[in-house]
Amino acid sequence: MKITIMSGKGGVGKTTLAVFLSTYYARKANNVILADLDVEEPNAGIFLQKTEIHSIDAVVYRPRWKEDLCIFCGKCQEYCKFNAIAALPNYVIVFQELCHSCYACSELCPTKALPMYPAKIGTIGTYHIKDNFVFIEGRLDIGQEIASTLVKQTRDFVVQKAQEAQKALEAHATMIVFDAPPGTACASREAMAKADVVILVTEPTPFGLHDMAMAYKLVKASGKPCAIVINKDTPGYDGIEEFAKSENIPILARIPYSADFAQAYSKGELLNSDDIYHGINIEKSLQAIDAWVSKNTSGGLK
Amino acid sequence: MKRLTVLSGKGGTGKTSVSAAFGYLSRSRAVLCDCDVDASNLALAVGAKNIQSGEFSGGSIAVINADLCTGCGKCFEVCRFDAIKKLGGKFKVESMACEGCAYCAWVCPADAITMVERKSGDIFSAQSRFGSAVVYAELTTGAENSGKLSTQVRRMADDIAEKNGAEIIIIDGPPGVSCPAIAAATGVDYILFVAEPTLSGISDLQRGMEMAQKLAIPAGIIVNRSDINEEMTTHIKELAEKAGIDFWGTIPFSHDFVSAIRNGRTIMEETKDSRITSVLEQTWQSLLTRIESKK
Amino acid sequence: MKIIFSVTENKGKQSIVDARFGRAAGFFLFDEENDSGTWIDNTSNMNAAGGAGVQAGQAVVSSGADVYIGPQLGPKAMSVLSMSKVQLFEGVPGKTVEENIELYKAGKLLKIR
Repeated sequence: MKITIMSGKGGVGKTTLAVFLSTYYARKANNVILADLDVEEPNAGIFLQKTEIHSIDAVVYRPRWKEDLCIFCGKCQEYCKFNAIAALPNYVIVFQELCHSCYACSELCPTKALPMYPAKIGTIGTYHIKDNFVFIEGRLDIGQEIASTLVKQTRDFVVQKAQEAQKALEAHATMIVFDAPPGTACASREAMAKADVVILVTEPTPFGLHDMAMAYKLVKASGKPCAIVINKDTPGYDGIEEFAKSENIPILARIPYSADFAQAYSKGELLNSDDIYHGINIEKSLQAIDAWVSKNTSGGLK
Repeated sequence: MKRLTVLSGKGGTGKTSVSAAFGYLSRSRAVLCDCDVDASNLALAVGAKNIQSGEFSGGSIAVINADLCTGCGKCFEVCRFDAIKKLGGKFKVESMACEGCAYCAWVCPADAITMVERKSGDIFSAQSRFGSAVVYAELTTGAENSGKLSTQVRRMADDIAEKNGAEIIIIDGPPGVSCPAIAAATGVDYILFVAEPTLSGISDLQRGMEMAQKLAIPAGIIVNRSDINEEMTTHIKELAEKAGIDFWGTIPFSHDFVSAIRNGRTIMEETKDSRITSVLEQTWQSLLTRIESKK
Repeated sequence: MKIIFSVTENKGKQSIVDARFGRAAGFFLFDEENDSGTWIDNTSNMNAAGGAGVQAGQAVVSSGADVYIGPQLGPKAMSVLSMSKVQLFEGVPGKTVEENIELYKAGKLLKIR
């Protein structure tokens, strides 16, 4: 069972909900993986008591020029659609940061003068929270230009880990909660691609509505079941409700704005010793979310 | 003519609200530019009316001519992006997954593959309620956000600013630290970080600052919602001092920011709280002086 | 001696030097020996997602120019041109090719490399 939490708009509460939801499922004794796919600014880890199990380098393969094999035919520059190669009469430069790792130049070079080498773009860290609760985070190195590649790699790593765990322990299927990045571009699409259901978090403002509507376009095109959670709710705006009604999207919860909650959040305190923050009635909201998830998949709480 | 980019690292700290406020204070002396192309809100904040729009292409995708396809599968063998699928003995490109590398086109023995420009967004030139030109864009959902569209938005803003004789271009940046943020900030005169005094906000701010440092552009910080956690606000001030960047002050939390957005107004027009209006006015004046003074 | 300029349009020696390199409208290659010029279009790069500087740099090298006069170069363009024998000078955008040639001859242009 895989749930992606996305929003379009930044700062509406994706990570908050992802932490709450995954903790809720873990408390009810499911096997849970919380995956932070906001690789440019991963924050979920701030709110969790965790110990690192291991960290791997995420790499992409990019070509390196081998001068002694080169015949200066200039074909590599012709092949590269991303302007990552400058083929001069006596020198070939590969601009690593522009490379999309398509392998065309490397495999089509007549003298194999552009072999592919691994280049680190970030890290994927695996953390232990509880025996049935694992946290996996993708973290992009500063200076790297493309985030979506690491989102995809982290996502696939998480799915693979869940499959391995299931096989090894003959356990129930693992519940995976993907915390997606903000925005509605390629990185967000990758974060949603393997989900069974999608939850759109939004705030009751025209900004929240605008960006959620864009995110919804992505979800609608995928055909995946989708529901809305309104966060930081204050009265006086019904744009979200109107949109939800016109598109027939259920609103599972309205979490009210709370200054106390904001303060606790600022200190990294989402979870008290009982693992659930009681300052706002999040429990009912989580139950409502779980009920919808169960209804829309063969999974849910066991 | 100077350029200012507003960044934050973290989403939702108030970049657009602050950018809109500065725009309001500048009226027609500024050109406003929204580089958050896959979640563009600046136009909403300033009540922009569209004047012109155009389509944008971020690259091309491969298209297989089914009549010429022999089903040899060479394209499928070479595609690194899982963008080629087998369909009834022939092969087809899944356009969403296609990176446009053209490797398949190079190797197809039947010459059945052509590269076709793909629309990946729209770009708009508009006018704000209070006289400033606004340029913004909407990236097609799911499309690659390479920074190219942001660069186009910025170029259009540059052209308009030159024509109008505007003094400053205010660029509302995206969250994050990868290409979209870099494209919004590269080559500008100053980067203003709108920070939030939370652990997440500070963590993201630091990553943002690291990215800005790599670009070697002067920067400063203003803390929004500062009274949510005064300790963290002080910590951010210390971070600024340690990094040798400007600290411009604090904006207290206010529901007026939400009502401003809901009413389609900037915070300057919406709030009666003089703490907010004065810090924004003073910051803007001082920021302009700081930007003008740098060679 | 062949001098190449980054320009905003094709108007021979009256072309205005562009403030951009990678995304300049085109290049004007001036051959001093026979006082002739060639226009090298750069439109395909104007719309490049990335690497416009790379390709423009490549175009300059391929043109056979001995000297480049134009705006300061971004890091990628510099990487390409620094591997070549082209001498690089910072020209004055907004002034014509002709005016920039005069400044160059008078030794008034800053040498980039």
